[in-house]
Amino acid sequence: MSLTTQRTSSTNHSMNAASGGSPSGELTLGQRLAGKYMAFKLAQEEYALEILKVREIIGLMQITHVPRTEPHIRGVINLRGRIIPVLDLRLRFGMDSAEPTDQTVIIVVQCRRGHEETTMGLLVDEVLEVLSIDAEDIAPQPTFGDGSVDTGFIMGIGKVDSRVVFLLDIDFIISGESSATEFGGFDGQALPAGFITE
Amino acid sequence: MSEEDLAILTAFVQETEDGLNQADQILLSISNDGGSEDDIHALFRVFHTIKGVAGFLDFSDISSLAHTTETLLDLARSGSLVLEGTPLDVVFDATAMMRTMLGQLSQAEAGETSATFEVPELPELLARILREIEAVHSADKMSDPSESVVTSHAASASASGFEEEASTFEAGAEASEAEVEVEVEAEVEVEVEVEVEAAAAAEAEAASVAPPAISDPGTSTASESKRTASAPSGSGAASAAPASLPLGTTAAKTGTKETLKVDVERVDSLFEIIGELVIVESMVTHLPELAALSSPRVRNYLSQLTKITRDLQDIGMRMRMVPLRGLFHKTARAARDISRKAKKRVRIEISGEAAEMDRSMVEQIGDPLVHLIRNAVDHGVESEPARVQQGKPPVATIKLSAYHQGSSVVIELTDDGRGLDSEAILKKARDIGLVGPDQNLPESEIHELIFSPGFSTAARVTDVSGRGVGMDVVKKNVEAMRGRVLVSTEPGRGTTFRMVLPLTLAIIEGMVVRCGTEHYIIPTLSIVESIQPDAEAFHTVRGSSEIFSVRGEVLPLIRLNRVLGTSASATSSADGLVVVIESMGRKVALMVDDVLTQQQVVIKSLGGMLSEMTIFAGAAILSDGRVGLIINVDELEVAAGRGVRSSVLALAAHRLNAAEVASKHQGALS
Repeated sequence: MSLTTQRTSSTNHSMNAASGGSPSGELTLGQRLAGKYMAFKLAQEEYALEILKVREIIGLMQITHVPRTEPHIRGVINLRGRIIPVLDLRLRFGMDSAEPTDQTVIIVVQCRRGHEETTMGLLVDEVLEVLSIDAEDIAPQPTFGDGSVDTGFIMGIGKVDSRVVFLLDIDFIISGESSATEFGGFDGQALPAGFITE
Repeated sequence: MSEEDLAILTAFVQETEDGLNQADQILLSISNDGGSEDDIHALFRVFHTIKGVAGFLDFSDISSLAHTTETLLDLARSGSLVLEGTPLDVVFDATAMMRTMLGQLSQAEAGETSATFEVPELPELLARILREIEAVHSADKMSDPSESVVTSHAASASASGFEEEASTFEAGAEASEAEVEVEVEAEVEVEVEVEVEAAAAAEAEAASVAPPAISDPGTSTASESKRTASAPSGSGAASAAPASLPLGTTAAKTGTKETLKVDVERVDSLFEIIGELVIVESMVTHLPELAALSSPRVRNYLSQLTKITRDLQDIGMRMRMVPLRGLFHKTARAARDISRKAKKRVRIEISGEAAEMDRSMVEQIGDPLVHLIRNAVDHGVESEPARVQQGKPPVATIKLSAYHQGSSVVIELTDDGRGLDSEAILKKARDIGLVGPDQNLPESEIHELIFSPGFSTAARVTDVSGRGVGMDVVKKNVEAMRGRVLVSTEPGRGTTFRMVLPLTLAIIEGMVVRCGTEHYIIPTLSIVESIQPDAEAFHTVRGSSEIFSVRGEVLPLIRLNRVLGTSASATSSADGLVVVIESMGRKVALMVDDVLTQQQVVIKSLGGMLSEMTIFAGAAILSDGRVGLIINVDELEVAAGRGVRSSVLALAAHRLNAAEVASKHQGALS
């Protein structure tokens, strides 16, 4: 699996929330989040991680199950002599688990957990491409009126052409109180696609 | 403070610490057997060096203390003072004081240098030393003048006769000095050691190393030769021989070692890479594709690869190893301080201090060891009158020794005190409800009770011990290093504590077992035996808890697949195997599907979000490249949810055992 397609977003749709630069000179959400992202697929949705957090992408390998852990922790793998835990992002987001295909990969990320740097693997359905997302193409994370859905792990929503990509806060995913129910209520289809009006 | 200053300061602290360690070592040997002249010389030199460097760095407190102590030692050198009793004590106190100041110094390292220290006791100590010096001077004046004339006359007479031998002595002393210098360096960190045997080399070293050390004014050289000449042994050659012996007890045979200081981090990363190499090597050699090849050349190369990898692993391990010497001397020093506080006379015998252990373990074992020593002195050793009454020598002996046993290091601490009082322990255990009122335990189990939290039979709490915290901490610390503490005792004769520790923290010998489709590793150290069970060996208590009996012993049974919550496996009682493990001093039967193999594994942390899992001690990469989880045996019972109940069960088991033993006895009698 290689990261070949590098595409710059050429869209210039202005988006209300992101484009209005604040007069005080502080960085807007869009300015803060603009940059390169590694996009991948989970169920039918597209997600992206900051490229700087991604160490490498490896094919699916034998995962040793660790008993007595939460279901979204798939187990540990031997990454060239290092042992790293692997998280199933589908289960983490409360989606159904899927049979692995030949597209299934593990994205190895370097993230912060508390005060320490840790390396871990994220099991995803398919890796897409590296996206470069401009400030004006980033909208804030959606909020759901009744507060039933925690969207803390979404930093913002990026728009690339006509696609919508959820920009993930990987540190939050890993260090946030990890119970799948916290993000509960999501299933793949219910994720707020179409939330943004163009 | 500039980086350069900091470097100088760090070097000073380190060197002075080494010097003080050496001084302590010498002081201890002097307090044990009076010590030789060389000891006093070496001691003098330590303080002299400290004085010089501290003066240069403008630490006036340290240098004045060193200077005063040096003056006292000078009197001891010239024979007008015998280093024992109070004078010896003040020198001990001086080293302790310097340590305090060094501690403050290294704390201040980060901030500003301050040449002042917060040591309110310093003037008092200085005064005490001066008093000792004064005492000698006044005694000198009072002594018979004619006698001293005779001595000096004899000295000068023999001095001329033995001039040649005296110079031999000097050379010897220089050589030994050089060796000491190098030894001290060697102890600083884990180094690659190159042995340069032979005295010739040592002397060559002396030429380069000795000059700064022998910066004594000419007078001291003169007095040195004079003393040799007037030595009662007469022959200069005879006195030169012992002089060339280094001051340490065992250093003599080891010769001069050239060492190289390496950053610990680098050693660690080298070690890690070697670990990976070991794994890849074992993956390659176990490849089925290669096994299918019948080429003898391939097999030849593979076995060479295996051998080189093992050698490399060995060397890597040894690089992390440091001798126990430093730790032992620190402990002995602590023992001395404690014995003085407890007002008991104790002699410390050290042996096997050349045994080596992983550096990080040596650090970790320090506290438990000091605790054991404290216990031995405070509780183990009787008061002097009591000892005399029992016909024991008034001075108690505590032996501290280390030796290798298989792939373990055993640190043994033996006292010749009163031994453990089984009755008192049992009574106390009953009082606090650890043991039922009419329940009887075998001796060994009673002794194990001292490791229970909050347990102390001491009638009174003293300054040093008796609060009942401790032995459980000792046990916990040692077990955290995957070691065990064993105790054996003989009433009235003494107690022995044995700490059995693995050589290194990073590699363990493990048994690979299968449970379902996964492989797990059980540390071989905790395995007592593995058994192919009979169906009759399984029993059920109250319909739920299972027990397993082996040769009349009843053990709680834990099924690994149930504890781990993994899919049901072929663990119908007759298939599968039972591994008897010992955890926290108790045996437990563990049911697994299969026992596959035994192999050395490199322990790795599970890392990140999994590091809090207590049931696994870590993970290791198996020879097929898969990850195997290492089971934390001590947590198994808790995880099985029978931590509490199993103790009831264990009691039941004891009773069963007792009944069985009794019936056997009857059978034998009738």
